[in-house]
Amino acid sequence: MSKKQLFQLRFFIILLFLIFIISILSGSFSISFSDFINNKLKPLHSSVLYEIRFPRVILAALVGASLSVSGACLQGLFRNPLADPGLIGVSSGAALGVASTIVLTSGFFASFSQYVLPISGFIGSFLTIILLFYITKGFGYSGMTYLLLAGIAINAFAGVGIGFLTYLSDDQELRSLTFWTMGSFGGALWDLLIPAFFCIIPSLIWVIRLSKKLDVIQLGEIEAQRLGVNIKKLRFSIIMSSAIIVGVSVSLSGMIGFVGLIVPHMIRMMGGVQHNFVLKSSIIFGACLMIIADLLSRTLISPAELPVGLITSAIGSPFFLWLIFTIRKQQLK
Amino acid sequence: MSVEIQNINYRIDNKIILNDINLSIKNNEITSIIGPNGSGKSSLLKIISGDFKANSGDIIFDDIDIKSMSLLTQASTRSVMSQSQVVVYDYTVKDIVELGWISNKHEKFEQLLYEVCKKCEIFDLLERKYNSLSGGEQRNVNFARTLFQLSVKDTSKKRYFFLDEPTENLDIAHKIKLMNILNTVKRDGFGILLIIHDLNLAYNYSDNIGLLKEGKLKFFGKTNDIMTNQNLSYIFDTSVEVDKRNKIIKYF
Repeated sequence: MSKKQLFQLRFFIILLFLIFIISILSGSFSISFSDFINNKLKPLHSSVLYEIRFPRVILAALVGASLSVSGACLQGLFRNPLADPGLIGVSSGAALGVASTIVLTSGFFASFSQYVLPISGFIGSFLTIILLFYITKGFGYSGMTYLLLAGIAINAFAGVGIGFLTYLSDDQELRSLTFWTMGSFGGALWDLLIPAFFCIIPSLIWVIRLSKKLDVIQLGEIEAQRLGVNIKKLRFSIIMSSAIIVGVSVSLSGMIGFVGLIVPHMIRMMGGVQHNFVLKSSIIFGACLMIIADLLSRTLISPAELPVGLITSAIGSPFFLWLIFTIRKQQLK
Repeated sequence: MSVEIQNINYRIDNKIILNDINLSIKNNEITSIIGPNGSGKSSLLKIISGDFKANSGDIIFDDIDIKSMSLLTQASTRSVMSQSQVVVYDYTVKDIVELGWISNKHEKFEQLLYEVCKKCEIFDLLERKYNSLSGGEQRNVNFARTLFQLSVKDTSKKRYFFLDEPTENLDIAHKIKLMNILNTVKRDGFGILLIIHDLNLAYNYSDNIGLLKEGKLKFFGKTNDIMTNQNLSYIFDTSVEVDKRNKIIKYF
């Protein structure tokens, strides 16, 4: 990592810390900073802070980091700047997995749903990536259009599946399904966070260790193999870890679009394209961005809440359009 | 020390691409493979590099079968330069060259990088974006990267350098420069395999030449013995004249 990149990464870490503090203190009723620092919180305040705000903000950070880093990994592995877990259908695959479990097992697993739901999310996203791999014959830069079209198809299919499940579900299931598909961090509890932590953090460390290989694979798969990289193993590791982090994130917070697409691109524009930098910065910056999005979602029309997916999509979709146009320009060149 | 290619056969869907190829690539020598389009040159290079598996036959690097070498051992024994290189994201030239380094960085890393870049004359390009370079410049960068791959500290080991039409699309000055670099690399103890279309370059720079036609290695031996009017005319199905005194090949 160059000096400039190291500086930027440190800056993002400080930024994350500041945003974290601001975010836990503000909301539909705000907590004063001096009370927090001097430990003079009233019991009500402190229970809001530790039981509601803390898990919520941490979950937002975790999901933001997950989606961003999986976007960065998929974009790197497939050498395709448009790969994003939401856009290519991985998130909706995970969502379909989770929705199936909620409705079809109808409370059978209710007592330990905090473990079952992340696992079903993971299975959904894993199957989707495998399916995409076969549809696009191994992804690849030239297959970019295929990848996006396949993503549209998978998103539509998952939409049908979830719609159908909604129809099948009874009142109780419908409540939890609707609450969850809207995409929100409102349901964050410590109980839910702990298993997520143990799935996501090791996966993040796992992919960071692969960053040199992700750089090498930019030369093409055959070239990377000639440089001693075991392509099958790398592909498996990236797909597996992306499926885990996206699956678990979706199971906890629903579908939140565009974060995985825009964060890695912003990072590349700010500091460079080497994966050691892109992955680490995407984790930190993605967390920052998601905390801000969540903060907006619960303060803009307070005391009511907007779905956080609405906010990320509002920022992300114009960026996506811009990206398509710049890519077209590059290809015409 | 050498790479021995023994009885290589390669088919795609029952179409014979390579038919019983035998040749050896020796250290301190440049071996060139010449042949018309579609004669199987690139496939041969890919099989020797270990990208594809042949249907039968062996490839032996200094008495070690390629099948028993790990990917990393292969990567530190030989490097391969392909015809073109697409990179999607905006890496700098320095990033690209550094990707050639496969082992852990050590104190001589910067010095070796400097030497390679100086040799290949890409020093001024290092901070530029790879995608902003011209085709010829990109080729030089890839050449530097593949050379850097073999700059590993362990010099006791013999190393091999395979190049697929490295001079294609270069202007004449750059062609000569690249061939001269190959000559110095050869003297450093490398065994070099060259797939090449330019008959004059092959004639003047190679120690050994193999002539490939329809998947068969029709002739293989010392440059002077192989480069004859008869052999070349037969291989290309067109009249080719070799001027042995001036070392020039005429074909029109």
